[in-house]
Amino acid sequence: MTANGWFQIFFFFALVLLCAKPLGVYMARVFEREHTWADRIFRPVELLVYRLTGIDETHEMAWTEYAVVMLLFSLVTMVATYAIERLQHILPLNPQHLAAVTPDLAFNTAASFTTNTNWQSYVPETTMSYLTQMLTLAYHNFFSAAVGIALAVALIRGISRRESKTLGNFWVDATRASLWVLLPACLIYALLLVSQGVVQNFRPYDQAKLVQAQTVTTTGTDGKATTQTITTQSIAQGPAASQEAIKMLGTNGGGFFNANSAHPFENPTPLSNLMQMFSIFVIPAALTVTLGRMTRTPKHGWAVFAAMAALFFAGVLVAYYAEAQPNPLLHSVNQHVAATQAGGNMEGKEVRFGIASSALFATVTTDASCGAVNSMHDSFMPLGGLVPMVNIMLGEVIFGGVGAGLYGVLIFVVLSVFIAGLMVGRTPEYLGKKIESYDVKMAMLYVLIFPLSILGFSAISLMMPNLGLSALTNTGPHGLSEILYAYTSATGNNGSAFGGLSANTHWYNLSLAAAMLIGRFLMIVPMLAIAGNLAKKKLVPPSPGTFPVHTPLFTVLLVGVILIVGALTFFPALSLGPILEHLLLHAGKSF
Amino acid sequence: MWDIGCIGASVLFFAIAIGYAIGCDRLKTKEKQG
Repeated sequence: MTANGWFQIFFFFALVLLCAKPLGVYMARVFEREHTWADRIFRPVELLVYRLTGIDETHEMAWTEYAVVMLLFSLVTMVATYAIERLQHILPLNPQHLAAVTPDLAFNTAASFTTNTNWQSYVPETTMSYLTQMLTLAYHNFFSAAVGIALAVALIRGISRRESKTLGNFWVDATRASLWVLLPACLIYALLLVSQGVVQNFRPYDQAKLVQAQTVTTTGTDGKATTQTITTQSIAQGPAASQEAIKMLGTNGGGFFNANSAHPFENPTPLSNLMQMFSIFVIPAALTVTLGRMTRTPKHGWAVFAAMAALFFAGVLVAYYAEAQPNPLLHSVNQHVAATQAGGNMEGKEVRFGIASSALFATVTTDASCGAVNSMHDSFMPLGGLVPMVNIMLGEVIFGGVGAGLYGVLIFVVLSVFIAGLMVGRTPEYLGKKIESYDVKMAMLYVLIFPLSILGFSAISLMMPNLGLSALTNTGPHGLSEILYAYTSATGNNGSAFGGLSANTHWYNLSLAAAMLIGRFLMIVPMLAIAGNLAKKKLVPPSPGTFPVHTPLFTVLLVGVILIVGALTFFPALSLGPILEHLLLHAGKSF
Repeated sequence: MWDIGCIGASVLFFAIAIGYAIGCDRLKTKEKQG
């Protein structure tokens, strides 16, 4: 580890901290319909949208209506995405004449982008037309993120409202999240990315003549080897910058190119890399301020922020330490940091980013359900690879996805105050609302669905040699990590791939799609049930038994609950995967 | 055939999710009555 590396990490976090308050206050004003500087631009557009779509912006929804409307909206957009993928060969903006996407892959991709996961079982530049990328995938990048923000705002309203049967209007919240927050930020951000060299065009792919011809031997399905001499290379183009902006700000993570943020046209410079990490974290971090402001308890928002920050620094410390250490299998090689080498583990990392920025990016992208990658997680040292997996397994509540991170951590807040209430023998309260058995049942439903999907699908894949194991490129604990990571990433709606798993098969396309849908929608429903139930409650005045939710003690308890729930659920699986691999690596064995 | 299956599966999943939401709401009503 170097001082330069730590400077990059602290500088990144200082930027996030600096912007969290103004953005959080701005979002609170947007969702409480207070006056903002952007009203003059977006209010007429908003009114036009409502007039064209017949939305009554004064209509308030109960939690069930909010949930059903959100589910139906997601169904319609998912089916439309599937249809466009299947018909892209006869639709415009397809200069490469790409074929229709296969049905199982189209289903996987439709589920992936509808759920804000952006898991990609395909190579974008050889599978998706420009129209598919722009009309369906970029559209979902906006609206799945807007839905996440709307849901978080609905939960905050549930906490802050008293004796109310409603949580707001889904259409209004999603529209305002798109128009006031995501759209203006993306417009500026896309231009900044273009300034760094991210491409934005509709050109057919460039053909470059190779300086040195390459001879490649491939084995066909019939087992016959074919040798080819390659003299030219296709260099993919396209409207990448516009997609890149919302990919990061919406914590979507689906790359325009297959190499994602390691591709020089998608993330060309260290400055674009910093901007990308910042844009992943800034909205989720700001939403904690929004929570504090909308519930009239700013200190509570900061206490939640502090818990997230503590977990973030713990993750980045372990990831950076693990990657900066010399590989024990290369003991005879000088691996120390020097002017001519980065030291530590550089396999799967871009030289222009180095170890610190790669470890930081991996931590940020998995803390925040983004899933963009600037290095290959599969090539991390076992403990380095453990960090992204654990980040997702903790429920992606370390800032988390836009909206999803906040409503996820608030479920843990409910559990924390419940446990604190049990410890002192008083009825648990959260910001003046009594936490009752129904709230805890719904919170437990939320917490239990997550491991059920991850561990259930992983177990099925591991038990089926022809479907699950045949797609692996590594054996032993590393192979287990590859399967476990895939279902963790899908259920957590993260979308990053560990790598080493050929997931474009019928089994993986369909089962990962199921995991993504379960991890998104079957967790949102109990969360909204808690929001609806909290909104109906009376406010009880604080008593000596009330557990304050703005103190360092609360932050410590919240961190403890998140870690204990995660550890109890996933430690056995992790001990057979990355932990065992770490121990075997030091015993001289690799997989 | 695949297309019908994939669209059917999507509709089925969201129908289950809506049923699940209604079930969660009914649980609250039941608890109140209990």
